[in-house]
Amino acid sequence: MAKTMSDKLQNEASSLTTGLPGLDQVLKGVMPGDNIVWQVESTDDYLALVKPYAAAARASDRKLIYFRFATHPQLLPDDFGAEIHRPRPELGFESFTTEVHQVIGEAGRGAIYVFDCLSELASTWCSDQMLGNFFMLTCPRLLDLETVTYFAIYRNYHASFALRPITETTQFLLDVFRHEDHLYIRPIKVQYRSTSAMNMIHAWEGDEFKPVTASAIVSKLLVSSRWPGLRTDNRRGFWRRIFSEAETLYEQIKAGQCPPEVERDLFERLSRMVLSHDEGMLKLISRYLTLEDIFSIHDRMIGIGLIGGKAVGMLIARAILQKTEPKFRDLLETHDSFFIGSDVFYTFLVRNKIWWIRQKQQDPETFLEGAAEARELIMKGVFPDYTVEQFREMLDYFGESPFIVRSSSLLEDNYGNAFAGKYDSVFCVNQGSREKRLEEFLQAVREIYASTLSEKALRYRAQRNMLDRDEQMALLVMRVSGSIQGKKFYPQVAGVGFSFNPYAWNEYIDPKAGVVRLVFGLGTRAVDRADDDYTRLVALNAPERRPEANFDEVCQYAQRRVDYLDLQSNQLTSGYFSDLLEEPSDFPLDLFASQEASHDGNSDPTHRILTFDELLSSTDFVDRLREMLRLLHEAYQYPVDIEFAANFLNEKHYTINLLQCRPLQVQGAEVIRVPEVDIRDEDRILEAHGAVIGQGRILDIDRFIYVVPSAYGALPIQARYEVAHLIGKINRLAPADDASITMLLGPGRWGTSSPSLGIPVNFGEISRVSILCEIVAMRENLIPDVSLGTHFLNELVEMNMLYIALFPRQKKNILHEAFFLKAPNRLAELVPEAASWADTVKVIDVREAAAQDRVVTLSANAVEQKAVCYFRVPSAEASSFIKNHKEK
Amino acid sequence: MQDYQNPFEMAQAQFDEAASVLGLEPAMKDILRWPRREYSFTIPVRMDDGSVRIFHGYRVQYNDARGPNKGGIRWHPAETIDTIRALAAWMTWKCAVVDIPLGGGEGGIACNPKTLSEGEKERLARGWVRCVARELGEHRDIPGPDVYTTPQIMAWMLDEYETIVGRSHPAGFAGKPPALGGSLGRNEATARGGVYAVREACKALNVDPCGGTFAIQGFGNAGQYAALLHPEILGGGKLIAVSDTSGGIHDSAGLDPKAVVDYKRKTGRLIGFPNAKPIANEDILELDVDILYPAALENVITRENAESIKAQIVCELADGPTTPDADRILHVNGVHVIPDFLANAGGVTVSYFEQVQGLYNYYWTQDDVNRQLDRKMTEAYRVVNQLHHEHKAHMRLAAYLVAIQRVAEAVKLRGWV
Repeated sequence: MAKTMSDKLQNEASSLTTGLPGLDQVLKGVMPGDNIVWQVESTDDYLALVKPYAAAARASDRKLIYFRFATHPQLLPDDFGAEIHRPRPELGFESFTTEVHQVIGEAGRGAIYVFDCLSELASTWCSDQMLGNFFMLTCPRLLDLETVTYFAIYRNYHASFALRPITETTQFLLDVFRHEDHLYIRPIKVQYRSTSAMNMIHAWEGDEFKPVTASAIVSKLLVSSRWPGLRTDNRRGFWRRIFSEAETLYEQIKAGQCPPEVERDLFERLSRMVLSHDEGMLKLISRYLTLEDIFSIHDRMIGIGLIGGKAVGMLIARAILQKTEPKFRDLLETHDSFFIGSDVFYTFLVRNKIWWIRQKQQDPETFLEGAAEARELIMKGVFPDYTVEQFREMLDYFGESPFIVRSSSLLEDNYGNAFAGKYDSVFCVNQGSREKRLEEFLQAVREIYASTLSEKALRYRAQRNMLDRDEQMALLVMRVSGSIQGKKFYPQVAGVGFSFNPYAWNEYIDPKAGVVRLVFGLGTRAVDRADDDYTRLVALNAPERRPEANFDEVCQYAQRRVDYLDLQSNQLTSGYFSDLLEEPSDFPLDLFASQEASHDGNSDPTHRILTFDELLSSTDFVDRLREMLRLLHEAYQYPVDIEFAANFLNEKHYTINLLQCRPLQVQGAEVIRVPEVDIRDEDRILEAHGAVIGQGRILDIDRFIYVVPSAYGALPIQARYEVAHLIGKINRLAPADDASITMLLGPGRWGTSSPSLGIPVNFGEISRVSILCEIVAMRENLIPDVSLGTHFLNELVEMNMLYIALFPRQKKNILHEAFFLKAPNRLAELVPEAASWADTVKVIDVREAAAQDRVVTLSANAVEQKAVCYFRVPSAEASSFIKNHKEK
Repeated sequence: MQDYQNPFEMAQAQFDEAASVLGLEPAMKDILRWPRREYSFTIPVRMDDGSVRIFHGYRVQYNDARGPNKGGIRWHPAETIDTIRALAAWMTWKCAVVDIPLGGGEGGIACNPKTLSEGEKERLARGWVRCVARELGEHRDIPGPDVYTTPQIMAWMLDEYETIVGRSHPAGFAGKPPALGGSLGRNEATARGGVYAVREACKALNVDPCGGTFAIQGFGNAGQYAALLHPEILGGGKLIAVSDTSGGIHDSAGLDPKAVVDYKRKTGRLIGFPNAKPIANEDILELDVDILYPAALENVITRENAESIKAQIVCELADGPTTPDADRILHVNGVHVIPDFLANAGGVTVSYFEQVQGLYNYYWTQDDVNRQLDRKMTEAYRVVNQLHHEHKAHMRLAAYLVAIQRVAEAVKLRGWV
């Protein structure tokens, strides 16, 4: 028995062959697990080797698998008897690799493989590095499965970025070249065999491969064969060659020596290599960027590949402004950002053995498995020397100026995606020795790479069925806009802006004029929404109209804390504005801060409140921002949101730094437009075509708190205060970190001081609510005015609450009151002492009120001023755009 | 007490209760139950976008038996003539309780100042004055600031009025910025007046303010000044808790009022004040303190928590912090309430001082203002407290009795009734 098994294995092993006995001899036999890479001058030469190899495989009963993906002639015809797979490199590295590995996994042990010439992968991906990465992932897998595989790459075609990993990983690397009609092979690497054959040139004559021993012939052959070691600069890879050729071509174009289509083709090719694969973005790119722009980007690139959505958004937005309106050429702060290509990310994962762990994240069943381990490996990961060298050069460029490393993933900020904010951005204060600064920078890069595997990002992708989408992480390294004040670094003013104002809280605010939220110092406070502080909300057609009616209220809702970079402690930190003023500073303070009265009633020159009053009233800052947003909106043909910073050199002269631009997002959807959903009439709980204030969103409601308008309208004034306090009690039942979504509905104005007109709650009593709805009805003959959220506007903005006004008596508006009246009321259970209020206040948990398979979804669109709340059956497809409320 | 939807009906009910205790004759009751004159007018305003919008304005002169009418101007979207009437009545009683020789009035514009630009606010302010100028003046009716009318708005109004009459009239409007004849000490007047009343109450009740503790709910202007002035005026007292809309802080060992005020001004909130424990806004009312200052919102002491109030003295710096039900419970439980229209009458008193200073065009020092305010508040408290004992009435009713009695006396002397 033992003998039989041994024979079988021996037979199996002996059946492995190149199909050319002479070659088998040179190689000292083909063994299970051999990966054989042919470095050829043409596919004809490769074909000559493949044919006998495949024929022998077919004869041996082994499974023969052919990966057909290149554009060169097909190596094995369809009827050859091979299993042919056609993965598509143009879908991206990750998709391609995954598909190939799926085939390999399913085929199991002992198969025979033929790959098309791999060099086309580098050309499709515009990256030698990525070809190297593919090989490093694939070759060991084939070795483990004891297969035999033929690969080919073109000679003198690739840089060390591809050759080094291939050489290091493969078992055989053989150079194939022609000289005077003869084919020669020269083994460059022969693993696990005698090295005697290494570098010896063999001439293929008939069935034999004869060694060439005469030095005169050898030298002649090597010189004529353009041996890569002599002719190729090993740093000049595929990418560099394309750019070098492009630059030459560009010179010809400029000299008028090429027809326009050559320029267009070149531009399109380079755009797809560097900027985007997104068709929407490519249209903007072709309209506003030039070849010269792409060359400038290339000059500032580290690594290769795409520069990601955020970087493209920033560059496009700057180009739109500067090309449509000349004054922005001077007004915009010069950008000198660096771009770290997306391929650096994959190379990092492959080199640090994180790739396969990361692959588990593509499976919805296992997407969280190993993520912590992978993050840990990322945080300890090392970068290739050539990348680190480029990082050093970049640091030398910045000196000790602070910069920020921002994620710029392929999915971020493109048309139709709302991936923003899921990945980190890290400030590098960048103080100290070169090595210390380098380490700080490397750590920042690792941190952002690790954030792709954070639970938050993975869950977000899982919910949207995007786990298997090609998600490479490029990085944008931007100089931090601002100046040194004492020992701190910060811009004077920063913020976010929307070209469509979703906070049109009074009739004089034109939503189309846009809105900005301003902060003093770093814009992180405006972007991240600090819950302990306020920002200045400015309607750009009416900057003077503010939700505060007097200076006391202005002070109450003023920004107190400022984010800045502390140059001493080398970190991002925040402190009180009043403390900042104790250090020497040289900015025009009066533009940003007003004097507050002291305790004796006189103006106190030392106590300053950030009002931005002078900035907004005595400079053209508002007009410029409004114009910026309008131009960007027009170019994008869609509302946009931007991040910006600005610095005044004196009272009148300033520059704006446009940090980011993207299509306006709808929260909870992976699309930028709220999808139209077909809702049956009987499923509609409410539909409002009145005011919708706040950013559009789609989410599932967990709880309604409904104050019955007719019952409330019949209450005496004192009792109405009790209702307000009761709502406060229900509000406090939810823990502070509760992520469930509560919608509060009631008659008239929330937060009014006149209980005859609404419910006199204070903000603390409704602070944990996500959606606030004013029903414009109370009792016969009394239709209270709506507040449009003005009682709490600052809080609504800071807490990202949504306000809806519902006019039930107006056409198309719907309030399905029977639902609220009939649904199980949890009030008595939650607040037993308030059971007597059960007819007035309804606390309805959707999971109790809805049929088992149904949820209640709210879809609110501020642009169209429409909100619908309806029952639906969650399906995988529909769920993909419903925001999971845990991410509130 | 019956619960009224209409604020003026509520004011009339409060009057009726006092009138029956005082045994006023029917004609006197009738004249004091109603405003003497009411003006209702429309104000056209050119908006920034070129359109014209018509606003509704009001002025109610409730009773001028004791002197020219005086009262605020409110800019509020929910403004109605009944709210204005009620406030005019309360202003009449408030002036009378602190015994200043003025009648009561109130005015308003139904508008949402949050939606108006500065230019529109100015045109609206001037428009209001043009509609009612002939009824104004330091010898007829002196408007002052109220909800959402700022010193700037009062300055525009004064300017419009002086332009119309062609003379300087600094005494014709109250609440002006000091540069235009506003009085020193106005910002702190409400709190200062309340603390003077507390000092008198401590004397009357034998509460030792130096060993006493106090807490403040609401930390806006009045609350902050109360924190600073309480130890200064009473010569001691330990602030153990304060709260604002963000929450409260508590330290039974005592909080440094100056440090707390500075922290609030710097950070915009109280939460996070070093070494203090957090306390819920509603829990602060139930603390075991000698003196409690509700200085924030209406209706915070209700029938639900009135039984739990442990303070000996409640000084109502806010308007209407105690509901009528709660008022009765506090009275039964022996909690001494200094009612809002006495406790926060310091504001109107200094406003009167502003008029006085404007009339003889000579302006007082802050010390002069404080001394005169002390005198007025001390006397007012003393008289109300006396009636409280004499009639065994709760303090709010006693204050009404003092006020109505004084107005009735003036009406009688004038021979109107």
